[in-house]
Amino acid sequence: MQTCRMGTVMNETEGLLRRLLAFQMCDSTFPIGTFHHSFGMENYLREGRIRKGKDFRMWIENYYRSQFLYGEGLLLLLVFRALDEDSFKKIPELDDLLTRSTPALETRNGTKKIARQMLILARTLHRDIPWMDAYETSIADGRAHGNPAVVFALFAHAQGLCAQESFLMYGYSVASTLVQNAVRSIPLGQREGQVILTDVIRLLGQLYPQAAELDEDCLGASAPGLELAQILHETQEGRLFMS
Amino acid sequence: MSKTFSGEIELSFACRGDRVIADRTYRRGNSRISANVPAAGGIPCYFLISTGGGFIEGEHYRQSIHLGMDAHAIVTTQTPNYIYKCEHGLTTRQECSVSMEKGSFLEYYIDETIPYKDAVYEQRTDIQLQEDARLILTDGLTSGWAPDGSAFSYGRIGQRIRVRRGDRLLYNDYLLIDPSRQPAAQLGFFEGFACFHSAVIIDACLDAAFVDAVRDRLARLRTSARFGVSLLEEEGVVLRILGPDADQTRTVLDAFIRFYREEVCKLAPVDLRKRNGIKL
Repeated sequence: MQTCRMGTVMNETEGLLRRLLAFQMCDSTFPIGTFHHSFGMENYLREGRIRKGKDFRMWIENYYRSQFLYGEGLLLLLVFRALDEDSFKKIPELDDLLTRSTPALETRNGTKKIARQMLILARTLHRDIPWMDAYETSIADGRAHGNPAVVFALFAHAQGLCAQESFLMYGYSVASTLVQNAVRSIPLGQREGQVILTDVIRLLGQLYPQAAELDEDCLGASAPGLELAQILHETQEGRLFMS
Repeated sequence: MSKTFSGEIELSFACRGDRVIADRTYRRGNSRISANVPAAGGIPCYFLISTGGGFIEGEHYRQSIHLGMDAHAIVTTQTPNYIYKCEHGLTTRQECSVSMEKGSFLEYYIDETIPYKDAVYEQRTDIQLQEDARLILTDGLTSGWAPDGSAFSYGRIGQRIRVRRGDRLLYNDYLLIDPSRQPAAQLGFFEGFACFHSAVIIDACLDAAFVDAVRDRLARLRTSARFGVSLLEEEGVVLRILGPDADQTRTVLDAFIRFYREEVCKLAPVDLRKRNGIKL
């Protein structure tokens, strides 16, 4: 069992507030442009392979079983490990590794854009987040590219959240946005969207122990269909989303 | 620590005047190297052969390929790589390291992997490029083989490719399918298809205009495969293909490679004369 890193000097209310501030960043209305990106889902929509809630559920669950688990989910845990070991220089390398593991141009660019906006907003809301400046510098000088999981990990770590809680929160954040995107575009009923989101939350509970056992070696592992749909989105006609 | 491999290959190419020769062809165990196949208009071309027709549970194979300055060579597997049935849960492994000096060009056509029931396989291909070195690399994976004809009856299959130029990572590609934890036939994974092929070309001159041109060419193909081309972060292009069988995916793969070889490299077409294999 992993214990959360709430400092002993912090009182209970302060701890809860800090957690709430991290949760604020996970809200699907947090304005960082995530609603512009479907990460390949829209390609299945246009090809008629996602038509209803059950198809979308299959896509999102499989996205989590592959790209989220070995991508941003694992990245977040590795960033936590690097911070715990006081090894910031590892973080741009991890960001670079995941970026170079993503074959679809649009998916890379979408991820960078979201990270960029998240960085700006995080710095507007909170001063002096440890390592945020260094991460921004590493993006500016090309060692890193920008990934929202890194921005969130830096902030959550600074707020004293543990790796597990941060993994679950970030996973929820991505899923809730993807569900909102599906509600708008498929379309799905809001209630059906929430049923699917509940199942993704349960899936995150199964994926965390798997992710916790992985190391850098697995970062960026992916599956053929997800990647191909992301690539094909580049040339598809009639687009609601940028990726 | 010394390790006993079930098969080892060391292949090295060097320029001698205006020719390229294989200056080292070492093999041990179950791995063999063909004689130079004179199919490629003076470009040395070698087939890598597995004497057992595939890998047996728990075996560990090693390949090392080196290209000297400005050398151009073609290396290819002879057949798809069968990973035979696994009864004791042992992981079968292949590791391949490729080093390429300045200005060299390797075409390395790895056929698809066909894992049998319960097979667990890890393939690692690490490629180190010096300045101006170029690469074409293919690989693939199928839904596998099982006595009862069921698809995806294998265990965890991981095929990872890493390409670096100097100390910069250019490309990391880790295909990871684990049917015990992932519904591999479903949307997002193989999506009802039986064969996946992938190709990457590393060449600093490739850009969005090349991507558009090759997309136009591939759009003319008659195939039931689903495929797409995208530009890497730097210096390269990838192709991903899912198809009902390897003939369909190879049609796309071959056309993609042929387009690059002919339009960018100005090379004459090559027929590797592989049964069901890649024809360029």
